[in-house]
Amino acid sequence: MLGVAEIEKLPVLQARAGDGAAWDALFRRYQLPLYVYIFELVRDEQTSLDIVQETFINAVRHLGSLREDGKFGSWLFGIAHQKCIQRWRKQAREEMVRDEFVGAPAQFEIAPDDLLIREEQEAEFMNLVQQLPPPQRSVLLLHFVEDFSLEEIAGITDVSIGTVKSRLHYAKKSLRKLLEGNS
Amino acid sequence: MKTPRELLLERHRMAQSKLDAIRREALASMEKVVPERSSISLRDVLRSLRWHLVGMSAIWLFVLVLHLNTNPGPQMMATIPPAKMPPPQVIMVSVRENRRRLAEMMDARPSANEHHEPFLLKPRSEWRGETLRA
Repeated sequence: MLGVAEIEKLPVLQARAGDGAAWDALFRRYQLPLYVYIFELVRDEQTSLDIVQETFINAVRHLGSLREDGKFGSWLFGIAHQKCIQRWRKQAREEMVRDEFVGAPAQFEIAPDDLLIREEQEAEFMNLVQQLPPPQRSVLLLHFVEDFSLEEIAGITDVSIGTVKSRLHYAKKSLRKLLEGNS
Repeated sequence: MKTPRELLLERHRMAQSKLDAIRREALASMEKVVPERSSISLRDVLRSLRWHLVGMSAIWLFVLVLHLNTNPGPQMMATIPPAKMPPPQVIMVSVRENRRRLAEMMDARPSANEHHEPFLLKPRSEWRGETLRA
């Protein structure tokens, strides 16, 4: 699998023409990151697998709505994100977290690959991710798993860039506290 | 040491086989959906145009019938066989005869040298005299 920072040539154009092999390549590329993102949000294996399947089917049906081929990844995650929101609403388990854009940094403080987690910190890192409120968890996962830009994360989660910055800022603050405390 | 991405992906790698099955299923459903969509779209276009075409055909038929009813002249002329058409001299004689009868009925005396005085402007005093004479 390609690293997130590498420039990928995805066969989106061929997929638009209904090429099954192109769709196979696209799904193969995104299935695990998509599953990780969904699972870490909904915390249920079967629900996560269902959402991955629904996302794939929706992607095939609505590929015409994708304007830029280069944004296939964020578009796909956007579909998955909306599915997660629908599930939350259905189960009335959505946490209403109102975070404000106060003193948020203009850019990401650390690139996802710059942060290294030692083996003894792994469990705590995962615990921390799970403890974060869903909006913060969502932006942190999108940042870590696919290294999406602020604009892309804003598009996926359907919030303003300011809100994304704020959520990421607080999520990383908590993460830094954990990693500093353990070092 | 691992990056968060590596850590997250590794934690869920065991779901890979299930994800493969889901991918195959999605691809299979796509093969069913895509050709269906292309054939339906053409059918849908024809179906959506069907009433439009019927309406337009009815209007054109109505216009054609209306045209035939209001403009029968050339058709009637075309129906008279050329053999039954009288010669032009006969037609002219009958036209002159008709004109003469019409003149008699209006008590007029048609003459070949019928002369009309040209209209000339006259002073108002002369108009008055003519009116009184009449």
